[in-house]
Amino acid sequence: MAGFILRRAVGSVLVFFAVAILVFAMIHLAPGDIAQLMLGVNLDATIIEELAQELGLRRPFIVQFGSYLGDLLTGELGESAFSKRPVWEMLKERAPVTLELGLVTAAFATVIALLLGLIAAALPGSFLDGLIRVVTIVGISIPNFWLGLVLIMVFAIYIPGILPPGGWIAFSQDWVLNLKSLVLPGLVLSVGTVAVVARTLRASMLDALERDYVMFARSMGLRRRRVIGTVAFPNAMLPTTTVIGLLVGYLVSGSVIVETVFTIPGVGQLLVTALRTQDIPVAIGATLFVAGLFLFINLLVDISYAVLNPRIRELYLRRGGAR
Amino acid sequence: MTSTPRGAAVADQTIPHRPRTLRRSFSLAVRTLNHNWLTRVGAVLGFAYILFALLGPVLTPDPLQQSNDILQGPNSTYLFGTDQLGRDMMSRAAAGARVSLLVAIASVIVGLVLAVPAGMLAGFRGGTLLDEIIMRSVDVLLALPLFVLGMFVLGVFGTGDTQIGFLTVPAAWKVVVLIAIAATPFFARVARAATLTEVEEDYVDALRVVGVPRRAILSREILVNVLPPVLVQAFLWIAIAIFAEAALSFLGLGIQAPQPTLGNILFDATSYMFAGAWWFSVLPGLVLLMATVAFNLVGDGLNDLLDPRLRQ
Repeated sequence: MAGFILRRAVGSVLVFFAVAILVFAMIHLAPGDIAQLMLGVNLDATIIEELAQELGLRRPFIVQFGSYLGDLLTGELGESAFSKRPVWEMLKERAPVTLELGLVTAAFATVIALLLGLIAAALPGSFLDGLIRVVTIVGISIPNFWLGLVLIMVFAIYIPGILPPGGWIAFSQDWVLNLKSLVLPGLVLSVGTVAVVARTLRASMLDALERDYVMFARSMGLRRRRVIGTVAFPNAMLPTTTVIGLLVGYLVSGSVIVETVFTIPGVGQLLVTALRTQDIPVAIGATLFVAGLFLFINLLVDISYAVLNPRIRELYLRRGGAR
Repeated sequence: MTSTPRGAAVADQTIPHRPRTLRRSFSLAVRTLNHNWLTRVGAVLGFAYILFALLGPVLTPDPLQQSNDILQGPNSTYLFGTDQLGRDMMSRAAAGARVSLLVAIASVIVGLVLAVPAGMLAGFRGGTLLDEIIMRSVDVLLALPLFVLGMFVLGVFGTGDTQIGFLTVPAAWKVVVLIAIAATPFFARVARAATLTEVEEDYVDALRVVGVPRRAILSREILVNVLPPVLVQAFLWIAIAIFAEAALSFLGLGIQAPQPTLGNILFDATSYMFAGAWWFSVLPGLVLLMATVAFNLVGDGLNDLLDPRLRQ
């Protein structure tokens, strides 16, 4: 097991470095001078040259690449082109916001999704099942940023005073307001996830209920509700956890959008602002942070499957790798 | 399997496999349309959206034409209201719907062209080194946060047209290529899985026996049978692509003004939300929602009908 975890972790680190190299390559493939890109077009050539020197852009390509990798390994991310603050400091300030939003949303979304999926599977073909089906389809389809805009409008103009329509108050500052400011962004971020997880659970529950082991449990005299809860549900959770894992990526990219819509000062908003203003050092730092977070969560999810699920565990051990 | 001296006869017997599969999928599609009301709703919505995207720009005024009727709510002259420059929102929404549709279809086609040959090759040579290389590349792509990397690429390359060597890449094509790359792992996996099951079929052995070259088997016979599941995936990806383009444009990293797209219209709307201009964000958003719901419903219905477990 330790061998599997180690192999999987090394794989994640390798992919992270692939991302880092990709990021570096993109910057150097981009047409035009980065220094000029950062400063805008109509600036004096000497100022541009100065910045280029400062950023080390006039050194040979391979030297730049080496120092980039070296900086990464030592956690040195440079400073913002505009505010001159260290990127590392900016990330450290904003990371807790993004993590809180992500974690709370993930927990909330999982609970709601499992409930909806179970109800739909317990009463297949019923009105409630149909309703859940329609709601989940709309949930999958609804563009999260648009839902955010509509909710902001509703809570700012039409029913003001109940929930803050944007912004952020730190938990340490006022925890009630913090939780209130989490509600709308968390709702928007979780809608798509809830829909996908609920549908997957419904499908795999219905699949599990057809299996022989369920019929066996029923023939032993267990009541239907009991069978659904103790026999079918654990088995249906296996495919469902896979989907929950896949949705991590959705949460990460979704939080970038949601933070921008609700003006939440997280890493995602930092990334969007940096990209819009061509603040390249901050953009690199934020991209690597988001990518690293994504890879780390995926690693945790993969390890937890292997620990929880004997079938997958055996598969990994036999194949000698993750597929 | 025993070989037969009359190869042509075998080929004749096996070739009907192709039309039969297509016809069967088609009739199944018709049957689900008649059977499942959600799919029917999706088809109607999709048809309405395509009609709006194709005919809207022809029938409505110029989406860039400014007027003095600034920020008017929906009325008989302006069914969708007007924006901050007095431009007709219905024209803008229709023009945006057209861009979304074109970008989505183009990116799905580019994605199919990139991924289906690779996936089929991997499936045809299942278990070989080539298969391993292709599928590991797919795994690496899936392990990347592609939306964020796409944002990064668009941000760094700038949002206008990009000059790469002697080639000018229009802004919209950058979005198309990025979405296409994001779709390739999914298309490749489905193509590979479908090819793996097809290769086991007797008709493939029969064609080999009579001396049909592998390339011809792959491109003529197997391709036709691999396409249905791949196209289901493609349908679902049109919905994802429409969303992705809108999201990128909304973040200011996709297609830029003056070209209206559903995403950048909604970005403009954020400035007028608190002024009570509800139509500015609600109506274009509903058009966007109509598109994603439609393609999801139809893709979903097709998915159900091709899933052998659900078909019974």
